[in-house]
Amino acid sequence: MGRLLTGRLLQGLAVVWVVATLTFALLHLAPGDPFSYHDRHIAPDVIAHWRHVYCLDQPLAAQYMCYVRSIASGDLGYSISHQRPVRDILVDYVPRTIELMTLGLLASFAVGIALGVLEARRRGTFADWGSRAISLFFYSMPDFWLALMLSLLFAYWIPIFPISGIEDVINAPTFSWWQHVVDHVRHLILPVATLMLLTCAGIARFQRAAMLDVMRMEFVVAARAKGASENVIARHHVLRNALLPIITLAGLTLPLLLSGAVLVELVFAWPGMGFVTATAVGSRDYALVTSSVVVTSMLVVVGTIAADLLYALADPRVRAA
Amino acid sequence: MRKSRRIPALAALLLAACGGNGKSASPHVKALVMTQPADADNLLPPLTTNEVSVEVDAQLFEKLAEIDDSMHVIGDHGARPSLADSWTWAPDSLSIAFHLDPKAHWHDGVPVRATDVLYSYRVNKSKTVGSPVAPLLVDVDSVTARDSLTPVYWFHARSPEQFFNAATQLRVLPAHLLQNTPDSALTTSPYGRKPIGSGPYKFGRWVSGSVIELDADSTFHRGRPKIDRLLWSISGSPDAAMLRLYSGEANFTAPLRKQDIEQVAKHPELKAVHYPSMLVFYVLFNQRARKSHAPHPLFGDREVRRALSMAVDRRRAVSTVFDSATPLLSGPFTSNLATYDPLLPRLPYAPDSASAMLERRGWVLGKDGIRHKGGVALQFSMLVPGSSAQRQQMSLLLQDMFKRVGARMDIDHVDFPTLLARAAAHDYDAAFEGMGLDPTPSGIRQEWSTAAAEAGGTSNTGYYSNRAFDALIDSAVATMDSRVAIDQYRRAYAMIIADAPAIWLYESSAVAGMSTAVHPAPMRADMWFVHLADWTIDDGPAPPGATVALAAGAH
Repeated sequence: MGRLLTGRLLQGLAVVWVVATLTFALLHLAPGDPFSYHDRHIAPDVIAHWRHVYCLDQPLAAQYMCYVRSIASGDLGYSISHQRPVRDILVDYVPRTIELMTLGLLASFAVGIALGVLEARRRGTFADWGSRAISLFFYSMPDFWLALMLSLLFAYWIPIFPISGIEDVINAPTFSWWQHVVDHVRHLILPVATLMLLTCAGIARFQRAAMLDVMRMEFVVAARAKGASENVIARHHVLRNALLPIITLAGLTLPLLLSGAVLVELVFAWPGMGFVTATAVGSRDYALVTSSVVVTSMLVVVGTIAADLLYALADPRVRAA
Repeated sequence: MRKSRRIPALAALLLAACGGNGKSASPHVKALVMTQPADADNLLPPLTTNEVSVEVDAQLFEKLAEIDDSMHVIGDHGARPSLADSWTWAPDSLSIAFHLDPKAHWHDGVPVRATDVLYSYRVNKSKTVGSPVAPLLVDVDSVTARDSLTPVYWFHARSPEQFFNAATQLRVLPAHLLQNTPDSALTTSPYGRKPIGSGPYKFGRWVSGSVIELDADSTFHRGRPKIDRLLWSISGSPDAAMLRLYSGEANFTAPLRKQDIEQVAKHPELKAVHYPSMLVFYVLFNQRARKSHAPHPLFGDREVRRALSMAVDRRRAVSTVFDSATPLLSGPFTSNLATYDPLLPRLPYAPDSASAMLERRGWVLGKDGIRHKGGVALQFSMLVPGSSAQRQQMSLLLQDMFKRVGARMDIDHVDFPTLLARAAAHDYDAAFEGMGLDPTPSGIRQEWSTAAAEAGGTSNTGYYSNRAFDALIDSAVATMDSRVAIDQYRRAYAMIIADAPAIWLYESSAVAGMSTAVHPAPMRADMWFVHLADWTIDDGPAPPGATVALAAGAH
């Protein structure tokens, strides 16, 4: 178990380093730098001074060393477009993305597993066919389009949820903690629902296939022969065994959700990592973009390692291997 | 038992989440919720670089004086008191003493004093800080305090814009809160996230990426603002901003895009309000070969530039993309300026004359429909920002118009930072530029003078240079007689129009979308938000069918 964990951590570090280096290189390949955006009336010597302060007047290799040195020392740099340290920005924005992603993941798995079980138990019926068709419909939609459609739906026709932001900006300062919770939940519903609709179809199909595989096994036939009810067989024998492959799927779904979260955050104005990174790319804010990507890749690596460990804990055969 | 407790709790939360329509009332509070795509960067004025920060700072901080809505910037004609309730010129005009309003105070209760003005001047001049205001203070020699309420500006030399630069550009900062912070530490100072100013609104809260809230200061020395609360609600994108406006989560956004104006017209609870702007759009010719000092093979020739300008039917292009009411641009200045003259001569739309001019310059039409001269084709590329649908549409029309006179233009779609970077590196033939001008006619020197071209950087990237034009502008800038100055500016304008360093296309007509309950005060061309303290919101209930009603009791 210890070797597994060490191996995965080393792989994860390598992945993060490669991602950080690629991001640095890609950003610097694009023309312009953070000061391209600045007011033309700022004196050239002032801009030259800023470029020097942020190593932007150095050759690319020197800039990379500057970047690596600052990352290694825990200093993520200074965001020029936000005029504040990147660390402070991440402290504000990362928890919001983790919150959205975690709830999206939980909702996706809860609904996906439930649908998969339903489809497997009602195999070949209208419920099976209908459930698969509807979930496939959402699965095949582009994420930004689904998010926009939900926004329009709830902006015009069913105005019961706020369509954007994280709080009721006018009344939030006067809310009690309970009103804050309710308000926050209301703002979470549409972005979480979008992420859920986008990913639950895949999980449902996976769960359905796993359930059908397990249903064919001898111990299920034996349980049925002993007179166990179909509900008991499904819950205690089939579902428990069919859940194992789903743990792997959790690790694979995480990057998908994170990339989806970028567009979902933009459409629903959810101020998370995707929101801040997208605007930082446009303003060539090197420090913020690279740090955001590094943090995002770290989240993916940690999520994948967690899924591997969970799988190892759940399945003794993996531990033994 | 456990299950029975959980289910009602969850159900209650869901019911509460679905209920209320998101518009629970905050009684007796009039709030203007302005939705904007981007968040502010830093609220310490010398460090602010983006639009939202400037809008917020304009409510939090004051200048010594403000220009009037006609944007007269020569002398102090029409200037309105702000922190200073009056001022006295020295007989030789080389110093101005400002008399601070003794009732003016910071939001923490400390009175505003001359030391605050001295500190603000020093910080804005500091190279470590890099304030955008610094270049405007070059004529100021020093600032001293005659007494605690009288800061005095001393100038190197007299100029018509010395009052404008000294009194109406610099926002005064609280020395008692900032003077112990080194200039180099100002960028990370908590003050930039939670400022204390002296303006009509005081800082409420700032939730990163979500909202900035300001509350009316009921003790403001020039009277309490009419709207209780200002909120900048950050939406991330123009589309999300518009959805907020339509859904009633916001009651103001600006500027609207063309497609948004059409949508707003379909909402009876919303209105579109036109306001003047200082944005101008033109196709800039690079007069030097790419990344070199040699003349550009095409645009180094004044007659080629003039011919291409005359090949463009600007009225048709602008009417097709916008509407017939959009004003055409005459030159690198807007019609809002006092120096503008509607009778300035313009290059006409005359494609036949344009073809003849090109013919005379040796550009012969080939079988491929493109003109050639000495083996060089009359062919160039134009940088167009991919983020602007209007500029992309218009560039297609221009492409067709150039083709009719035998010129081939390739459109090079780039993102905005790339356009700026390539312009600064002189790595382009032509660029579809948009620029926000400032109200000073002398600003033309920063973009079009020979000195600006020789200085490099992001000004005058097209290398326009005409010594006669420079001389006229220099004379106009130095002349204290406003009538003489205006005449010289107009002669310089005629000269640059004739030189055709660019194809002058259109002035932007800005439009704001807002609830019908919102009643704006005059919106000034350079800063629409400068009179926000005078805006009002209706007290009464929302109009029939309205989804927006953020006024008292109706929200």
